[in-house]
Amino acid sequence: MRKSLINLITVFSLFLALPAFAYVGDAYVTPDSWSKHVNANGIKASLNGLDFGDSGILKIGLTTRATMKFGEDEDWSIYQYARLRLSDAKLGQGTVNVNLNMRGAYDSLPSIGGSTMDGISASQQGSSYNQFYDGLYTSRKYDEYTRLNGHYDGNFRIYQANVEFKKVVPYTDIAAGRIYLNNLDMYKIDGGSLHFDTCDYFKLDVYGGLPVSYYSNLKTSVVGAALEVPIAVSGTKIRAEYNYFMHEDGGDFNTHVAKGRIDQNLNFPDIISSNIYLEGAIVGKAMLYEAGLDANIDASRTGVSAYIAGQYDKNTGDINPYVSMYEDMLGGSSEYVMGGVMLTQGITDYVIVGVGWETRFNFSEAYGDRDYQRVFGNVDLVGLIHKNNYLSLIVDWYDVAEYKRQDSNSKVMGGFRMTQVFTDRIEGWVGVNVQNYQYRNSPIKSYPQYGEEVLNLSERNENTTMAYIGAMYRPVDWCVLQLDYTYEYADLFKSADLQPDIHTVSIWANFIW
Amino acid sequence: MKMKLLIIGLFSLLIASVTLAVDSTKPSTHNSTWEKQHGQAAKTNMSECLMCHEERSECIACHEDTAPRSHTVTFVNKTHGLEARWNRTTCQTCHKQDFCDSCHETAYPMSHARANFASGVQTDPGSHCGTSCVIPVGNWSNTPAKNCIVCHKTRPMTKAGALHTMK
Repeated sequence: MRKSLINLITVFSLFLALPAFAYVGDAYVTPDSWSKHVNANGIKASLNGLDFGDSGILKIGLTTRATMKFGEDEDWSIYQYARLRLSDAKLGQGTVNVNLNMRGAYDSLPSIGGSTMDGISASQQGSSYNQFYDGLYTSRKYDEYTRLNGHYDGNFRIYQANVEFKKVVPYTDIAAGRIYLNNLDMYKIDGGSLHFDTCDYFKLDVYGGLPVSYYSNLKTSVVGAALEVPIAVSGTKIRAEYNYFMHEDGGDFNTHVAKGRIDQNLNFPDIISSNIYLEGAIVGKAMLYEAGLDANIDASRTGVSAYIAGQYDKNTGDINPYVSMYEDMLGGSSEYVMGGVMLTQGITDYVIVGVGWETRFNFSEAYGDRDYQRVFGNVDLVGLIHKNNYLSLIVDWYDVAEYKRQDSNSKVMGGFRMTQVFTDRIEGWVGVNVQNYQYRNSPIKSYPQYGEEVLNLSERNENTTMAYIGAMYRPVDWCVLQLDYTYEYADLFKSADLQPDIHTVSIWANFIW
Repeated sequence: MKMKLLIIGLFSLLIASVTLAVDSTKPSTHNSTWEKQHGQAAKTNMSECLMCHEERSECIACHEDTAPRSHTVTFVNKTHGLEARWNRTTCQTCHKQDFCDSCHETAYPMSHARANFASGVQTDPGSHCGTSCVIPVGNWSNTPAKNCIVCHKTRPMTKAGALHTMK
């Protein structure tokens, strides 16, 4: 046994010692597939496109995903995602762009129709298509279309579908269809926008349409305008915008939203690159603010981020659901102030240490609002374990204080993320994430002296362990394949005898031009 | 055992041998803190993002299409409520209220699918009286955070049409 162990260590050491070359990039840049640690999405954007006419470029992408989930209920789904972008096609003195991103899915357990209060048709549950629909919500109907339709779930979404006429009319960009607005919140609407770019001193956007929701009938339309004043000489950008959301039910559901923001760039080449911002908003009757700084001190390899944000006043009545800060969902949000700071320090070319702190203080108690302290940190090893390797060790701790009749609770998360770049066509990733929650079943303290039941409020101490491994392979330029496996263990389901460990395998095939 | 070691050794050798120089296509800002910083950077200068991400595929992938790995089944079924109380602005990165509404207003949780759940007779097996609502509700309107009130914002009506009793 000992001999075998020595042999293994020897082989592993040999593996590490063999010469290889790191992926070429600026210091501390993460590998291209680093986002796979955030989620398992395998969509790959097109790169070069095909020639279209004299000047146009046509990019086309089709992605197929098959997901299989193994647990108490086996489930599988097939997903198709199509996208198209035509850019720079000449029209008159200007150009035309066309954008389309859309998807659809078939799931073997669509969970449509669901249960009733009396338990009828309660057997169907779970969906590999989207883990949101597991377990708890047996009668969820995924989207507004499905609710209206009542029996079919294609999980069909159009993310964007629009045509842009750029400078076909002098000094003007026109966009129509399902568009992302060029404003601070990047609202998505079914409608149109006009962008006026007549001089160097200001740019103006005017727009109107129906805000997009995949989940509810918002019964809302919006009109608005956004003004941008760039001051190139000082690196300043000033923006102001106004939006009016109109609801079929009227009253306070008709909501005014006004926002302003100033960005100040402070760049000294090879010494520091930074941006300071100040933003304020009036959403209905609530006033919000935020100020922050993001800076990279190149000379010392130091990164600094800091922010302060808050809500000065609150909405006590109705507010349009598209811009609500969840007031109608969990009770009115109280006035608060929160802030945080994050520091990263590079040590040689191989190590980065980061530490951050965040806190929130609420001025009054509402259902949803809790004061908390958060501390988080990371240690990144860049090409130290092996060349072309990026390893990040992470920890994140939330401590939520006891407050009046509400109990304290906490969360600790720890784990690692690692990506290995093998060639310019193959990358692999692996990660483990352990989360511990300590809380009570109801956030309200029990008061046995008033006859309240203690049993239901017993303290919970539960872990979730999630591990994943995956790889991406590009055999030819126009094809990218991805395989990802995720394992999840949850105390919650063990203790409630609801659900076993969950194994999810997803396979992605991208065909892109 | 020797054969296994040999296979492992050869496989490791193969991996190490084919590791060649690889060009990263990312700019220098895209380090491991970019996950936290990219939101403000996009607000500051979206047109710079669109120089590479003109199809918005990457934005849509994370913010609209696929849930993050942090959204484990425990998070989805239980602890998202806790975390939403700490900092809802994080949720707003991807979600608006319509998403919350789609479960909390239009769907029943698993407990409600149990036979007899809707029964108002406390002794009936499975009745909702024997679960969350066993906690006396002094005043429905000003004791928030009871389990029922997560979805039931106002004092509900019974099947007979009367207001739910309070203890």
